[in-house]
Amino acid sequence: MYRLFEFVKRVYVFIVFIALEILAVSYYQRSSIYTNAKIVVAVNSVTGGLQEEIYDMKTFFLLRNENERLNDEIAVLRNKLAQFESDSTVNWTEFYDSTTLKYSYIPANVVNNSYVKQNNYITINKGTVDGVSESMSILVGENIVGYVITSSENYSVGISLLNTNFKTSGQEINGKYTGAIGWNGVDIKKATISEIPKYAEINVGDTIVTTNFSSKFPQGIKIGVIESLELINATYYNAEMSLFADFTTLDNVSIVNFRDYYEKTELESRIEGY
Amino acid sequence: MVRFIEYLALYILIVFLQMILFDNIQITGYLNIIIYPLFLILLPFNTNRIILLFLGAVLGLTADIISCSFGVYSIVFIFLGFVRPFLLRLFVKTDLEDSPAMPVSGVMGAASFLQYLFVIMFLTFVSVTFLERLTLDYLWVAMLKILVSTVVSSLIIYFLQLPLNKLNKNTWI
Repeated sequence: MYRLFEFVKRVYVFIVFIALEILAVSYYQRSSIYTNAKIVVAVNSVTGGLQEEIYDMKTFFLLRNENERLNDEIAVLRNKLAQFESDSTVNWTEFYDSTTLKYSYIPANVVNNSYVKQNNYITINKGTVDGVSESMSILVGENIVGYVITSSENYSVGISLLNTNFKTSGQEINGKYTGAIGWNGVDIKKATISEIPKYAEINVGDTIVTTNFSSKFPQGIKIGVIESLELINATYYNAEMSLFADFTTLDNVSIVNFRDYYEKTELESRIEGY
Repeated sequence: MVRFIEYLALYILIVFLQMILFDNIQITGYLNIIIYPLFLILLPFNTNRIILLFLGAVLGLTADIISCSFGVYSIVFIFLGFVRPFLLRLFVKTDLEDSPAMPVSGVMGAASFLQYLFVIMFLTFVSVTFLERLTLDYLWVAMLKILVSTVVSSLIIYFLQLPLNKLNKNTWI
């Protein structure tokens, strides 16, 4: 008994260390991007105003560039609109009826955005009272940025494309073969697209966009331009691309609501293993 | 009691600086400034080892909540709390081991303090990076990120602890 007591006395620090590490590791294993984001939303409800002030100060010096970007975006959209409206076969009153639109857009501002970590998140100043909810996509201009994973009344947290857990599908702008989009956790200007079938006619310089498989992103949203390609085991391509979105200056973003999201995902969930 | 309040103030200051200032300095994707370990670094030489472990856990939990990385910082800072006495033994004169003084550059000597600091920061960034990535892909780029972040964060911590030298000389030795 005395020996046991002496032994425990000698190693009790190590025992406490192992016990605490087991607790921390089990926390780490059980956490997911969703549980993490819920914590961020809770912290935001306390510090949201402060974070917003800090982010405003940071982006103040970038206002000129942001205004130029928004002006360019307006010009592109006006040109597109003019092209569409010249089509006399379309009933424009019906077209503009908001109840029939497949996607609707909610403007928002970024109040916090990280990009130096492995798993980055974006906090925006719109929440459930503004109609923002889980799985809506976040775009800057016409480029992909991330998607919402949780919302409080006035704020939402989105998973950034610069997050190693971010997943969606992509394809060459005029192609039919798709690949998996991901981030390597290092370079904030680059992402990867992997497992594109070898039959795809894909080249360096091609533009990669979102596919119609996604329930979160509208089809054709720009992701990046292919910079290098590698054929793996003579069966599929892995490629590295430079991203269109500049994550260092995110300010004005759009939240996209896909109206049929719940109908589509509910239908898919009925089939086991879909 | 006074000392407890001083360390509590130090803890709040470090967390506040990290959250308000350093989490918002994002110059490049290769640089991640972390100053949380400064709190564990500056705990008195003779801090009880069990207290070190629990303070590591509290600091880790705080960092995890702020950084949205549940568990990662807790694992790393509990580990730092465990290895800190061994590191101090490596870099400090034996007569300081049981001292209630604060391990700052003025007490340890600039060279010893920098070695102690650099090893702690390197361990922090290696563990945080690989626990978040869980892959060895892009290893060289990850190592570059670890190195840049370690050097810059260590230098920032070095300059942050300089004012404490004076305080330490006046009150804690």
